[in-house]
Amino acid sequence: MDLNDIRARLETFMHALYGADDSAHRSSEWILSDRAEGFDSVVVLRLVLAIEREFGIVIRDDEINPEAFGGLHNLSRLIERKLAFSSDSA
Amino acid sequence: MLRFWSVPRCLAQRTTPEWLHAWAQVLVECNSYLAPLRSRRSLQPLFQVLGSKFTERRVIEIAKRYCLIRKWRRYLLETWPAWVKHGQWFEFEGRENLDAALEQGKGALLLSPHSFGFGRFVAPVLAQDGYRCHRVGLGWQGDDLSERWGKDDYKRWQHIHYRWESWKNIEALKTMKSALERNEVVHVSLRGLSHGEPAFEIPFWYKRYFLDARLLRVIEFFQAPVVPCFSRLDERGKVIVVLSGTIAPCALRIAAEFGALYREWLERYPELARIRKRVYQEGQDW
Repeated sequence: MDLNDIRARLETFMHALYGADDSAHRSSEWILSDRAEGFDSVVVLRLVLAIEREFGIVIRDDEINPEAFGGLHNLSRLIERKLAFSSDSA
Repeated sequence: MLRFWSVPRCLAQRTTPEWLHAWAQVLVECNSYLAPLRSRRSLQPLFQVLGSKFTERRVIEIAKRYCLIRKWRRYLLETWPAWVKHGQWFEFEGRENLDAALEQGKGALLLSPHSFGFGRFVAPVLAQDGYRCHRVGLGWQGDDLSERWGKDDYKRWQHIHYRWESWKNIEALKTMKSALERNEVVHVSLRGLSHGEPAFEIPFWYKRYFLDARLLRVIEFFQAPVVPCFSRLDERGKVIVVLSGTIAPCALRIAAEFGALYREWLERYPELARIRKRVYQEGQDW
């Protein structure tokens, strides 16, 4: 799966997860910000669990930060790296 | 090291709660005579909170009864039982409420008020009775109690290291979720705050008091039955742990039902609430 595929899949299920009006997901480029209204651990946890389920990967605590989760591009890169690592180790 | 601890361990195993409690009270009494100024200073937060309700003499009596002068309660009454089998030191009331919650197959969230009573022992003690338990807390790694309670008979319990920053506690939340999915017990303590959302305020006779909305929302997300868990020390020196009836995992219901119980406990045993120190230190913010 290349970066564009990951990004497209991510966009689709992010939309389903949060809906278009959710303050934590206002545009396709900006996903999560601790400055957003309603932001808390549960918002992050829901997203992490959904990504893990969708892509069959495990995201570690030290990989969860505002940089990685603050934009669709960075998040797609993280997933790409995790997928590559899991296929290498398989 | 093992030899050094073997003497106090041997003594601890032969000590009854009544004897230890009496001994701790003697030490507290000695402490207040030998270091009156320091003892007096350590009582200031208690005077601040209880002073409007009780006379000074009564406050000192309460402090001595619960060994609240300096840290004697922690040194003796909380550390000592960690060396022995819990049988004679802890009594559970309402354990059937925990069993009923576990029968639902969604795990059970034991909910205690933060810094109140003797809640930190509940997970290790339940673990000794065969429950799979997890205690969620801040900064317990490397704690001497955690080390002693984490070995031998107590290895069926696990400490989950929780941090307040939303980005940094996801691993802890995932561990809690997995434990509940395996139908295990997760013990969480709920902080009280000086500011908060009106829906989560509980009536407290001293100051306005709010339950932590963030943690309530986390609990709501897990959808596991909530079992309120309070503990106190009785006149024999035993720790009595009271497990109340299950509350549905809805933040507003928890705030209402757990809040009512918490108010009752605060009214009956205000001396067991270590929040008095924060009330004192943070002054008008409370």
